[in-house]
Amino acid sequence: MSCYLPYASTHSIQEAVVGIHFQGEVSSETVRQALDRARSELRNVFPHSNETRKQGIKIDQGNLPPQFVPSRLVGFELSRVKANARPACVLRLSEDALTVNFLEYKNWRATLEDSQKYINTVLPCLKLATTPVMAFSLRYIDRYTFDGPHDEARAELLLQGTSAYMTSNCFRVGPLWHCHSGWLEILDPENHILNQLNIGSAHVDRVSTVTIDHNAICQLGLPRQTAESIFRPPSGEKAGFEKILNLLHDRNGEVLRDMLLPEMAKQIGLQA
Amino acid sequence: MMSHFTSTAVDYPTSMGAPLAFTADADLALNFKPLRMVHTLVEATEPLGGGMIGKTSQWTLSENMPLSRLEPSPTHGLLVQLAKLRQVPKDERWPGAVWPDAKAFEDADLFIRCLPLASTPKPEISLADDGEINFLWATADAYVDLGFYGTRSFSYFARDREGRRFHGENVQASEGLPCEIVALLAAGSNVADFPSPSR
Repeated sequence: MSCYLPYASTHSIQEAVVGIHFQGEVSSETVRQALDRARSELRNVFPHSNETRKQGIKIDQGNLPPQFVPSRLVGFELSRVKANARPACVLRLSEDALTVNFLEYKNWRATLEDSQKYINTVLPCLKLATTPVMAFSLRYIDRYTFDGPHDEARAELLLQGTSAYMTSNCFRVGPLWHCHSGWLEILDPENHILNQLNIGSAHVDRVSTVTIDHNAICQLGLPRQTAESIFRPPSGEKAGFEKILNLLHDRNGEVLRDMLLPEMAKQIGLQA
Repeated sequence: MMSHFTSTAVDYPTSMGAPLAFTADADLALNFKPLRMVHTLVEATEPLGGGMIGKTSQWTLSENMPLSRLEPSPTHGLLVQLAKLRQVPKDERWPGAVWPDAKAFEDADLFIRCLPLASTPKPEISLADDGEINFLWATADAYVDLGFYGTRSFSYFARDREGRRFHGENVQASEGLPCEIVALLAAGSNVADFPSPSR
């Protein structure tokens, strides 16, 4: 009987993205310092690097020709690639966010440790007093491919009809559907978690594919203006990086357990 | 009166795959010849995501953008490759060669479904003339060779970058690759990184 297969056999995770988000843009000078340090410290982990520049253009509604604003450095990408030249891991600073994209997923412990290490390398160069950290985020993109004729693909072969995150319509329309939702979880009076959950079934590379894209962003009530306050918050402060990221990871597991059929959840190491 | 548009063009390695996003002014940005334009933003538009609610409503976040949107599933790719080999018509097979039997294909199919392809490269699959379905990894870090004859199990030989050798016999297809071999193939990893499927 045809069934859904996790994207990479033992894992359905196609990509995990860990991020910290700043209040406002990081200056070009700061980006340069961060890039130089990251290139130097993480050369063995990320052999490739790429600058991101921003080019402005002013267009007059009259007859004057467009004017170009000089380009400036707004971010960078450090990457390691797989044997097929696709990215395996990317450290990215882009205007107001520092993210680590993991496209070769081992397990959560390694993902958390590596992201802490990479972020910690860049943070000392950032001027957190003027651009404090306002949020931590964790995004998981899970994917399942249908092992059978496209027109036989059905949501009920992968997902539970009773799930709080799915509409009943998705279970009766056939192989193509999507269901996008979002909600805010009040973690405590200071910290909130914004969840964005986009689930969809579509053709990817001519294969019927279900994508579960869960982006969880913890908005910090108190801006973090030092690296110390991000990784080692004062006692009594609940929202340290590691603790929040572990929480976001647990929340993602809960969402998937609610959505996936039990045997599909078990296949990827999510027990009831 | 001067109206002000700003667009962003990101010089993005072609190896990174497909464009991430396009906005209404993509045509404008495409005129930036020196750049391999793949990603444009217009400052005046809404943020890409992460709209804030409550106390922090005075600021917004850009989204932590994924990179993998269009990458095909490695599991599906290997299963399709195996199915094509299985369906080679008799008159197109090598003369005199022993063709793998149905059990060998079933074992290979089961083995693919147990491969930790999130962290290891895809193997090359080929057929030997003695009825074996062969799986081969030849990377900068490791060489791994194993095959199926329809006995529900496989034997393997592996060698790491330093020349150390690894052997195994009668490993069940349903057990997949031993952890030590997975660690060899996933560069920079160790055996402890690969417990049974774990999120």
